[in-house]
Amino acid sequence: MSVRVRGLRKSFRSFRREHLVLQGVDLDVRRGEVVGLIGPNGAGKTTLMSCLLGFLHTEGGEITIDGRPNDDLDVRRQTGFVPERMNFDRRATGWQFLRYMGRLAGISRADVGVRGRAMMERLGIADAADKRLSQYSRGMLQRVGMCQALIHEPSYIFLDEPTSGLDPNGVLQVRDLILEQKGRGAAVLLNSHQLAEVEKVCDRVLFLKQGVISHEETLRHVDRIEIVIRLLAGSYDSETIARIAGNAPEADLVAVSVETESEIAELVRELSDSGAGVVEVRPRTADLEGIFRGSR
Amino acid sequence: MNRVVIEETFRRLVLSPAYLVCISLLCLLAAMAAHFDQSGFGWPGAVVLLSVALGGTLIGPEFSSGTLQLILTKPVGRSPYLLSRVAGVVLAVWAAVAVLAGVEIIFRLAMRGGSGVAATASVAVNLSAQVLLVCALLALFGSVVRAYMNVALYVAGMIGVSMAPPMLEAFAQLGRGFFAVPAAFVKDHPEIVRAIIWIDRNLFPERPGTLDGGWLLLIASNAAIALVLACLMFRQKEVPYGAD
Repeated sequence: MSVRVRGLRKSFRSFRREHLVLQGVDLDVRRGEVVGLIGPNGAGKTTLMSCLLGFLHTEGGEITIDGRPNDDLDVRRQTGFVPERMNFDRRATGWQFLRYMGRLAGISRADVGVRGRAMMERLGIADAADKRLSQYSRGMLQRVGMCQALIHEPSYIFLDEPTSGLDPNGVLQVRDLILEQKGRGAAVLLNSHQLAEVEKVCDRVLFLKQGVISHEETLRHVDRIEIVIRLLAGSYDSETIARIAGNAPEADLVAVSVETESEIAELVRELSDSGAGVVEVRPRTADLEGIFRGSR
Repeated sequence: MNRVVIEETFRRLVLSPAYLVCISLLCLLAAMAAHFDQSGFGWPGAVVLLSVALGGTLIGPEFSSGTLQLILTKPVGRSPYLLSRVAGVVLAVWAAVAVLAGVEIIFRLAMRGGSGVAATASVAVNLSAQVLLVCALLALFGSVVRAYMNVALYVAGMIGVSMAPPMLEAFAQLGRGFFAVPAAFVKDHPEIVRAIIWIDRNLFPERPGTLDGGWLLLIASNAAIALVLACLMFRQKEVPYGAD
């Protein structure tokens, strides 16, 4: 287990009124997993992220990261964070900012040079390294924010709208980076309103509504592949398909769960041999938009 | 303390054009001060203003701009961060003190045969201690309020406690009318005025003309208390997302 939250409560007080924002949130983010956090405005996503990162004090519940408190310096050494809006001394150049953040993260001066330049190159802002942050566009700030979060190869990554303000190319780069972090075993929590992006990179999605996790949806399984096969109408016999695929088709669609990609190829071959016309094979994903509409 | 934070704070301040222009102009003042019998004429007051300007950037503005969010996810504790920031600012102002005292001393050696050199050195030492206290207080205020309100609090406090004793003493003389009762209260409780004078002497002390070990100790201990309180406040402070 990596990031573990149990019964998290947080409220804000103004004068005599108390507004309970988080009302007992439970969540887990395992290593090598990307978890999306979505919910309507005011649901408490930012407050939850702030509590996880130790910006806000909690009023109840427990936050542990690999069994340690979230404000433990060893935990912070392995934490990366991209805020929705990057704020820093705008007189600093992108490179000065990145060097400072890298060195604060505990990277040696020499390593910061190598890794920082590589990250900036990767995200397409190497040419702007010596420009002041005040001259950076929103998308460039977001990119340099991504660089500072990942320069020390953290194990726990918290991303708050990382693609906001990015052009399509930047969105693709960030998506690749997130999947890379997942691939090297990092636990990633992604707070985003971009449902399409969430669907593309997340393994699980948590719906936060009125301060509690109201729904959880698994998009990708670690040990199996969920697919949907669309058959040509009138080209198949339902009983035969049910025998081969394990599920009877509904509206020409067969939902199948397999363990390997070669099983998919085998299944398609068997279906074709039975005379069924296979029109499309695609991964089975949750209808996040539908769930989001329902959860509002 | 964190060496990276100290280095970065110091580097950013001393390399800023405003700092360099300010020091260049003050060097002229320090060179002119060498012509006077009194050591440290003019420029130490300007250095105190410089320390208020630079110390004003401690915590409060970072809190409001959202910079602190990024810093607090890095492996540096809140107290070491605050102390390192103060150290960086103090070192930057001390560098200015060293340069300006150096300029005055060089001119005194060149034009006045070394007269007043020891006094200039004393002014530099006392001023350095005062700078430490100013920055510690600004860090304390910065850990409580947002943006540049720490500077406002510092200036308001300085003016307030220096003006309050004579005003209260005059107020206590009002024998009749609407203010008679509170005036009598102030008159019957001279400890109120004494307390304000005590605060003034401890937080905004007059710089002595010569080296005074007792005064230096007072400044150092008050700065230490202010820094401890600042760390305690900053550790408790919540840093919500986004700018004001």
